[in-house]
Amino acid sequence: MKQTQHTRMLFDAVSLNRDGMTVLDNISLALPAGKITALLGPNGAGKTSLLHCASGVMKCSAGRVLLNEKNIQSFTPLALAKKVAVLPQQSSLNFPFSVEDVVAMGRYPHSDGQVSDREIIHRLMDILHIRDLAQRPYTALSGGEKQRTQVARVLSQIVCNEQLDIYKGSVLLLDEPIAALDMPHQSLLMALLQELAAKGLTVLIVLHDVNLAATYADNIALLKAGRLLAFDSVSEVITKVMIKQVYDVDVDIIAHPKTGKPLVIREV
Amino acid sequence: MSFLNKLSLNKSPLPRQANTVQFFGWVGWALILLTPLILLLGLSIGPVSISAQQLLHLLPSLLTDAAIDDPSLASLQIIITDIRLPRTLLAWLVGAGLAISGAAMQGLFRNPLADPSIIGVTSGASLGASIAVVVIANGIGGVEQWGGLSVLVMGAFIGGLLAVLIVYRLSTASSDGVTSNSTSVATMLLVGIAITALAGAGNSLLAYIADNDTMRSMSLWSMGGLDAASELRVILAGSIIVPAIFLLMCFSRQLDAMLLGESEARHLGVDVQRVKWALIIIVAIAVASSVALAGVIGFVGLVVPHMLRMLIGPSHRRLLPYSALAGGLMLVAADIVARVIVSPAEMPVGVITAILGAPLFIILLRQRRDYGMY
Repeated sequence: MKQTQHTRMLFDAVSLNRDGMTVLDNISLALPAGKITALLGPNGAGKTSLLHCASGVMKCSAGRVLLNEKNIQSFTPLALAKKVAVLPQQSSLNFPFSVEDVVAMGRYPHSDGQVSDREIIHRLMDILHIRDLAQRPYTALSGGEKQRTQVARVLSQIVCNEQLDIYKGSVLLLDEPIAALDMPHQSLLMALLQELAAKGLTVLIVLHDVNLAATYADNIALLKAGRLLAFDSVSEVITKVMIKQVYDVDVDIIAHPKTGKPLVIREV
Repeated sequence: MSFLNKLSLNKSPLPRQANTVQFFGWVGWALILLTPLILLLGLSIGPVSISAQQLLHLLPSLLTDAAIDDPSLASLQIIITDIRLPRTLLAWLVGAGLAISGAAMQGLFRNPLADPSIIGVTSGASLGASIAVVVIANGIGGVEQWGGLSVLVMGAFIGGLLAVLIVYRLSTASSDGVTSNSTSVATMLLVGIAITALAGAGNSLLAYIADNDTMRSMSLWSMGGLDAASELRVILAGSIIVPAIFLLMCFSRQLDAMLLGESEARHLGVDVQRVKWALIIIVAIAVASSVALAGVIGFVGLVVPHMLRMLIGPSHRRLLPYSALAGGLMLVAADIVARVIVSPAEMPVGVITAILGAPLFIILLRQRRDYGMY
């Protein structure tokens, strides 16, 4: 793991105990700025809990999480919201806000002023193909449309203008965002994340699809039973041995015909 | 650079669609225009009807508190200043307070069927009033007036606040080292139900041991009534409810964000715990005073915000102030009906709001899907 990169978010010996169980065990992880890190692991490995520690919702039992060398717990909710946006696994909004209103809520921590807010919101809705749903009630949308609306909302929290430049030092945490999306929109979201990362956004994304992670992420962190088994670039981590160690399944690895990155083939 | 630039920026105006979010823009104007109208009606309708012309003559003296020369108008002036004006104003204030509190609670609990009594304040106030009358004053005959307010009023106010305090404390888990101090809204709902049941049991017990006169008085009180309105009560209500309305409106954006979900709101920068605490305190004080001054009046806090949300959408920036206006309108209208329907006697206003409110509520429930609520 190259150490020359700038670290945006640091997990410093983070442990989390809940109800007498060890959820996270001494996790040390340095998220490099402007890169996409995919968090993989079996169910119950602690991926969502790690995201909760990263977003400040849960306090670590031991260790600390630092954002630009400042402890996450020392931020006020508003100050943190200006830097860190979180897309949770499920949304429980059941009030008929219009899609545009829902996306607009992402601007809450910033409130630059009405005009630029509208432009950012419309641009994001265009990109995520929900512009024509702008005045539809959120509750009437399909699962995929709701998910794209939530994505637009979360992105509007870290984007500062219509060109989609991001606020300096922003971090985006996503918990399994692609489950409800159809294939083209899955690729759209991942490509969009790559674009934003190139502009400086730091992304930590929990994924179940190993190949999607291998295709789009820069680095992969493997979690199992609360422990960090590996954190390195894609080619270092996606190997038969590592997959077997984490998921306990036998797979074959081939190279992507165009990119040369590893592709995982399940053994039947 | 990227596929982002390849996407054509569609700047054409959006076509009007079926199944768009409803927003009836006229609602706000209707509320603003109807309010003075209903207030005037409240002043003119009653066993002695006062015409608009007479009101106009009386208006200058009402404002300057000067004496009237014309003896026929003088008696009307007394009716207005001593009875109708305090009553109408109190009705408006209580209606507005209950409705905006209902809107805030529906937002806080993320449940459009919530109403202000969900946090136990109404039943606590009832019990407090009963205890004050039956136990302390030894029956309705012994209820004294202390500076214009009876011990019943104070008992109701204190009882309401105590009940909310209990509900809040029982639903708030203190920091356990992992998550910080947090009030569980789901727990509050259940504890509120429990406390309401407990207070109801206490009420029933007190009704059982009370004498007949007392029982009847308490029974009527619990149906709501504005007949005890006085200048003092209006001033008290005004000084509590008007600031409460403006304070609640300050939380519009936070309430909107909290509808996304509490953790999503937190991720957007809302200090969720502080907002909950503030909302509960404001609503508790506003509703406890409403119940103390006007008895138990149901359905206003539930139906008014629910109906408005269907007409103008869930954004609290409009929902909160419109609820206040509409609630005030509704209660003044209900009070007019209460005065007129069995004239010269009076029906308790809570009966009117229930008779109007319950069927309206059922109709609303059946139409929920049309307005996007599933």
